[in-house]
This record gives sequence, C-alpha cells and structure tokens, in this order.
Amino acid sequence: MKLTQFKNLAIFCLLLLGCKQEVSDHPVFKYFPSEDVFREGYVSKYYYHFYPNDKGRDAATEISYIKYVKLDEVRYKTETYNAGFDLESERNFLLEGDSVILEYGSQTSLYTPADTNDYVIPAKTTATWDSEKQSPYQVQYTFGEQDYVYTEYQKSVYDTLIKDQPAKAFINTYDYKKVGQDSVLDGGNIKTLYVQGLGFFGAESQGDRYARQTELIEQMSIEEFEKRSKHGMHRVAWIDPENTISDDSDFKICGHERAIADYYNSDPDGRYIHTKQAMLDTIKAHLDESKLFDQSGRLVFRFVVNCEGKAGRFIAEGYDMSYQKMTFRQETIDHLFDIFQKLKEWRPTVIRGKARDAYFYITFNLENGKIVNILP
Amino acid sequence: MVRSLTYFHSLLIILALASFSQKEWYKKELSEEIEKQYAKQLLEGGSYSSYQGSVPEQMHYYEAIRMDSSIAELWREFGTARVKRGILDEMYYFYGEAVERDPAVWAGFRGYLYLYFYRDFERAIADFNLGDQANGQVDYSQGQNHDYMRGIAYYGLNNYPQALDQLNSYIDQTIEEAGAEWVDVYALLYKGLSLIKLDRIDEALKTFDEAEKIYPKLSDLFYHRARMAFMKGEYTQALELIGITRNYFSEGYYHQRPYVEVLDQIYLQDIDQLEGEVREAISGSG
Repeated sequence: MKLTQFKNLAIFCLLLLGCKQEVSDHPVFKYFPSEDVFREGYVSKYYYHFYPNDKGRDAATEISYIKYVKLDEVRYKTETYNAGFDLESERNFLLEGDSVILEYGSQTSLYTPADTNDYVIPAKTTATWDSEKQSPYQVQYTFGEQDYVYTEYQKSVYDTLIKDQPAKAFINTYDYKKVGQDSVLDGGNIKTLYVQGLGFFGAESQGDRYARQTELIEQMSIEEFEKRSKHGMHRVAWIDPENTISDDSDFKICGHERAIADYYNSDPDGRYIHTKQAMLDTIKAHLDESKLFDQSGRLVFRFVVNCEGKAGRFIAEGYDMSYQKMTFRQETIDHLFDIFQKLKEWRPTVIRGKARDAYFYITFNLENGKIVNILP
Repeated sequence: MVRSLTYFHSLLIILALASFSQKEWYKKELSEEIEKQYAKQLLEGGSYSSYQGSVPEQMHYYEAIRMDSSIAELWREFGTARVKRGILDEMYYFYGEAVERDPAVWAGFRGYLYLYFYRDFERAIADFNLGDQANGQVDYSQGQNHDYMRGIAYYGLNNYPQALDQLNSYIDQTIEEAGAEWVDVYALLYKGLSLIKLDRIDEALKTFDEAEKIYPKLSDLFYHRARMAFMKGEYTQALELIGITRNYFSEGYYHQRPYVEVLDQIYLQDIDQLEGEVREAISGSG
C-alpha cells in the first residue's frame, strides 16, 4: 500500500470516528439527540392518537411538530406547531441536576398570532430522571375562553431499551380540571418515553374518556422543517387582498387575516342586511340583460364583509354548466359588480356575541343571457 | 490497479464526508395495514381541533390520502368546505372522486348538494337515481328521502306531474311504514305548491291542512292559503291568513335551510306585497 493510499484510509477512519454521534453524559441530555444536533436544533413530527373508551366513537389522529433547541449547558426550549405549521406554544426548560424545570411556557392564539398567553406554573418540576420525585408538576393554560389546570404526579422512572437503544420510561398520573373547580375533566395514567439519540419518543395514557398515544413519526432538521412550512397553502376560499376587482383603499378588516370567518358561522347567517328579496329587487332594478350576452354558466362573486358590515375584496370566478372554470365577458362581470356596489349594508357574521370579518359569496346562475337563480 | 485503488479510497472519503454532513434522520416505517388505519384516523383528526377548510385540517387529509386514497369520505371531506364557500370546480372534482369510490353513500349526498346549493335539478335527479341503484332501494341522504328530493327537483324543473308522483311516493310510503306524523312537512308543502301550479287548488288546500297537523305554525302554509283566498276573491279571509302568516313568520316559523335559500322561500316583502294587493283589491271593489 502506498503512502497516499494509507493516508486516505487513515483520514476515512478518522472521519468515521468523528462522525460518531456524541452522546452526552448528562443524566438528562443523554436521552436527547447528540450535542451537535441538539444545539443546531431539530424537529420531531408526532401523531397524537385518540382512542375513545366509548367504542361507538371513531379513533382520531392529529399531526403535530415539536422543535427542540438546546440553548446552553442547562437549558433547552421547545416550540409546538400544528399540522399547518402554525406556532401553538413555546416552552423553556432548565435542568437542575436530574430535574427538568419548566421555566416559561406560553400559548399562541391561532387566529391572532400576536396574542400569547403565558402559562401560570404553580409547580415547575416536570420530571426527575434518576430519583424519586415527590412533588407534582402543575401548569395552568387557556384553551378557547376557558382556563384549565393540568397536574401530573411522577410515580416511577426506570431504564429500558427501545429499538436497542437505552431509554427512560416515566410512569405518571395526570388530571385536567377547569381552574377553580374540583371535578376532574379527564385523568389517568401516562407512560412517557425518551430514547437515546432521539429524545421524546412517545407516550401512552389511559384516561377516563380516551386512551391517548403519542407516536414519533419522523425527525428532521430545522432547515427541512422550514422548507415544509413554506407550503404556500391557504385556507379554502382565501382571497388574496392584492388581487381583487374592487377598490379596497377604504376597506379594512377588523381582526387578523387568519381570523376571517365564514358567512355561515353565525346564526342567523351573515347576509345582505335588507333580506335576500331586497337584494334581488335591487339587482333586478339595475340589471341590463343585454350585458349578459346570451352566456350560460355560474358567475360567483366572493368577497369579505368586515365586522362593520362593509363589503370589500371582491373577486369574480366563472364556471360553465359542468362546473369547470370559464371566463365570462368583462362587461358582464363589470355590470354585475357595479350592481353589487349598490348593496351597501351587510349583516356581519357574529360569533359568541362579537361581530367578525367573514368571507361571503353570491352565485349568479345564468342561462342563455338570463339570470335564473341567485344563490345561496 | 493502483489508480483504481486511489480512486476507491478517495470515494470512501467523499462518502464519509457526505455522511458526516448528512445526518440520517429517524423515520418510522408504517405497514400498509397501519397506514390504512391511520388514514381513517387522520380523517377524523383533521376536524378534531382544526377549523373546516383551514390549512391544518387540509394537511391532515393530504397526509391521509397519501396513505390510502381509496377512502371515499376523505375526498368528500375535501369537498365540504368548497361547497359552503362557492368553489365550484373543486367541489365537483372532490365529490366526483368520492362518488366514484362509493356511489351508494355519496351519489345521493352529491344529489342533495346539486339540488339545494346549485339548483342543478337534472344532475340531482341523476345522482338520486345512481344512489338508489347502488343501494337497491330508495335511499336517504342527509336524512332526506330520495323520492322526496326528486320531487323537489322536478318541481324546480317545472315538471309538476312528475313532482307530484315522486312526492306522493315518498308520502304514501312514509305513512304506510311509520305513520302520517313522520312525513316531512316540506314534502307536503311542495306537494301543495305543485297542485297549485296544476290548478288543483282544493287538493292543494287539503294538503296544507295535512301539513298543518305536523307543523301548525309553518307560516308558508298560511301565506299560500292567503294567496288562494285572494285568487278566489275571499279578501277578508286572505287578510286574516296574512295576519297569521306575519305572526308566525316573525317568530321564525318559515321554510328555510342553513347555507342556502330554499325553492320558493317566502320573505317579509312577499307578505307585504300580498297584503298590499289584497287591500288594493278591497279598496277597488269597495
């Protein structure tokens, strides 16, 4: 073997040794991915399975992502995202010996992402890894408009093997209550697993109403997670405010873009304030049928009615009688849109007593240049 | 040989470098059987805590459909928000996929949508027929009998004799199997309206009497009776009926559906207009 070849082999061996994932000797961090991965951050994708105790109800699975980043020698943080890659919560943890302490936690409002609710954490030690834990872990959080308190008692912890890797198993009891109330909404036993090189691997719990299972589905780099989160999807029937047929310079929505609801979210529905018949009367009074040009199809105007009952962000979408996209003549769209502008007052969608911005639509069914129906 | 060995060693280094920079990330392998189970669960989970039509909800369905695209309900679930929000081409596509996979369940349901959301009466009838054919009997969709909905569709097509046939078929069968009190009152309403269109006024009024036994405060019944009274020149009775109509209407007792206007839905303006016409006739005749 020549020297060059020997050198190459030596470099290869050194590289392999260097590539070996460095396992921390920290009592807690050794059950997370290697130091370099943890410091850079990684994301675990989980399935949360719900198996109702009532066998008449269907099992369900939700998708969630948790981003983990090690901050320093004794701290790490997590961020939880839903299946649409919206941030739901953040937590900061501090390690004191073999104890994991929740220093800070907050929940992000799905519909107004700028709004966060900090957790109240009456008992901060979430787990002890190598010793018996005496005190419970307790956290208060808000879901919807209700405050809840979650309490967990660590009953035991033991070493085990999962996929031939050293793992840690925690056996706890838990319960949920509404703040200020004694009755337990749900409670039971929970087993939580951490696996060396992988971190939080999953959990199983048996509660009063459900059996739950958290299952690690895959892990990825933060770069990969961010790539996936740029999916470009919008909610069904989203209207691009930059691409409308209306002059929206005076139109403002009251809430956040994400919080725009739908006309049917309230009872009664959001609709033209002077009833549909009045709307039809207005349309008939101003309609010039010559501008319908013997066309047939469905012309849909979609728009937003803000919390003040003002309409804006109009778009027009045409479909033929077989529900395929078609283009109506611009004069037709302009004419019907002009008539629409005469319908000034809309009854906004009201949810839990509060007027909200909402998407609306009106369909004109045209047959040979005649409006035969205006829906819904 | 030496050159190829050198090349081989260099390749090892490249591979080692590549493996060094690319961590092999954990990914759970799921069996086909588990994927089928999870696809159904993701379908449920999508609507568990996500708003219908939201990105998180849709992401659940995309994941489920990658696992098992044979689940008709998944395709239907994609279509639901599109129906309610006026996205017609996507509704047509997704419901088409659902019907293709399970016509026994979804053809009638799509017919229901064609009937109420799009007033596409011919497609509605075709779907009710397809659903019944797949089930080997007259079926129900969204809790509504297909004969009943076919009747409304024929009414929408102005084919009143056929509407009567279908509505009578549903009404007679329901009376025979369950009793008169189980007949959908709106089947009787549309039967009465079909009879009016065929100028069989007395039969229509008798039908409204039957409907009143089921839904005594349904203002539509009193409104159409008032119209008939007005046509017969019975102005005092017409005004009395209009008064009842107005009361019940103001209390919310009128034929309506969520999301969409029903065929021949009555509005306050209709009641006002009829009253105006009656009063005008009275002042003209006086």
